[in-house]
Amino acid sequence: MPSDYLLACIGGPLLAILLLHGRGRRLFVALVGGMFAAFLCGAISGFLARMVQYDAMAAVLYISPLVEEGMKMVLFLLFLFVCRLREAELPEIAVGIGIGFSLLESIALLFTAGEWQLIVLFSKAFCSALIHVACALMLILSIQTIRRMAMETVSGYLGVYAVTVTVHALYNLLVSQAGISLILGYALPTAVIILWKFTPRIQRTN
Amino acid sequence: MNAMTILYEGLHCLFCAWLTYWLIGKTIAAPHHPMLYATTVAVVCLLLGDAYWLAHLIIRGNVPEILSACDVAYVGMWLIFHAALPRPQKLSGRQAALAALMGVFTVLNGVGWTVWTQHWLLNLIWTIPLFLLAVRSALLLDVRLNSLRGYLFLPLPGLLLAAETASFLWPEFWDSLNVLCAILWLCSLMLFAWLLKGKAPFRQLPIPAWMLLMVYCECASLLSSDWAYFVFQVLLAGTIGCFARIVGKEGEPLYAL
Repeated sequence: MPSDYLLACIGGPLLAILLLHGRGRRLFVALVGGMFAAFLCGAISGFLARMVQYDAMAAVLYISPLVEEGMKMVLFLLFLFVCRLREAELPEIAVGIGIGFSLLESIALLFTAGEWQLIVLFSKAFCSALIHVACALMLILSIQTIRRMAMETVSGYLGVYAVTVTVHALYNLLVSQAGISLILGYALPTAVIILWKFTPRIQRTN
Repeated sequence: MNAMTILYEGLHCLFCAWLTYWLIGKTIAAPHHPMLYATTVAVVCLLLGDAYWLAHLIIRGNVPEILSACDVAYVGMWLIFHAALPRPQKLSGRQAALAALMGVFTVLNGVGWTVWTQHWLLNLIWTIPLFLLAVRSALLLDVRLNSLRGYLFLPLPGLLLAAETASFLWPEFWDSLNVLCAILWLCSLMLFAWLLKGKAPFRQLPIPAWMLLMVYCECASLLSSDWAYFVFQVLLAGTIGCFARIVGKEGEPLYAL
């Protein structure tokens, strides 16, 4: 991924980090962190794809999910151990990282879009945000649950990482073809986010 | 890719979807139960792996390449199971002996898969979580290997090793040795379950013993081919189903080992 993309969208959030304090600042740090992670992922995925001689589609299906979710996980663990976040702040950080990640991807999408209609471009960027936020939420909430339940941390984290990689890879696979598969692909992250929103309510009802 | 494999994967996916639905309901009702949570996530991994495999077949027209999201999901399942087991507190000679046996057993299986498939990286990624899970489960169990059950079981892994090695060394006898290996795997699995259960009824099998049975079924299926592969995969699915049912219904008491 060319560095111009990162420079094009990092100015405003950086200013916000300088001006804000407390939770607002942390949110923008997560956003910028997500952008940096996306930038690094582009470079790493490209390098790995060239190394194993994969074409663009194979790289999207087999390499990108592994690298992207790995970078997100590293970022979460940094946030978790460096900032010592409270439980209520975790979803905000997850959303910040996911949005930052998808923002840079959307910029890249815009540059490579060509003749796409505006509405198609918007829906692609929106759904890219959905999957990144959904995976980020899954990662951070599962990591928190593993810590709370005092499970074996390293294998637990790797197991959660495996879940998010598979969800991401399944999404990439489904949206790679038009028709019902595309709709199912877009429904996948939406279902994850709906489940996250409504689980506390269902638990309270029970 | 034959119709049998596609049918099996489809049915397996449906079974996992039903199990996931049931376990999610149980987890929402009892959210602070580590083993139930881990079992739910592990079954979700299994479901996602199956869904990815089927989606890849339908969309791309072929099965996923080696080291795809399917493998990541299945390996994730074993890691999650390992994460849910508590650390062993005191070590006795019996526990160490069973752990050593299971450790050597999984490593030899990993070597066998590598020799068979020639994919060392993929098999290394598969072997590590199975090895960790087998060793930790064995360290949590008090099983007497120097008993009648132990003496009946112990020769079988050795016979299996000999039969599997022979099938690699003399490929001209592959078919007949394959049948022999499948029978040996099945006998050893039954004797292993009998050894693990001890004198207690089968439904009171402790959680680590269920884990060992799952690892054993997985090892058996990965070193088998044709019908034997499906038999052991069905046994694995059945073991996971029984385990999930016990964890979902009886909950916390079984977690206290």
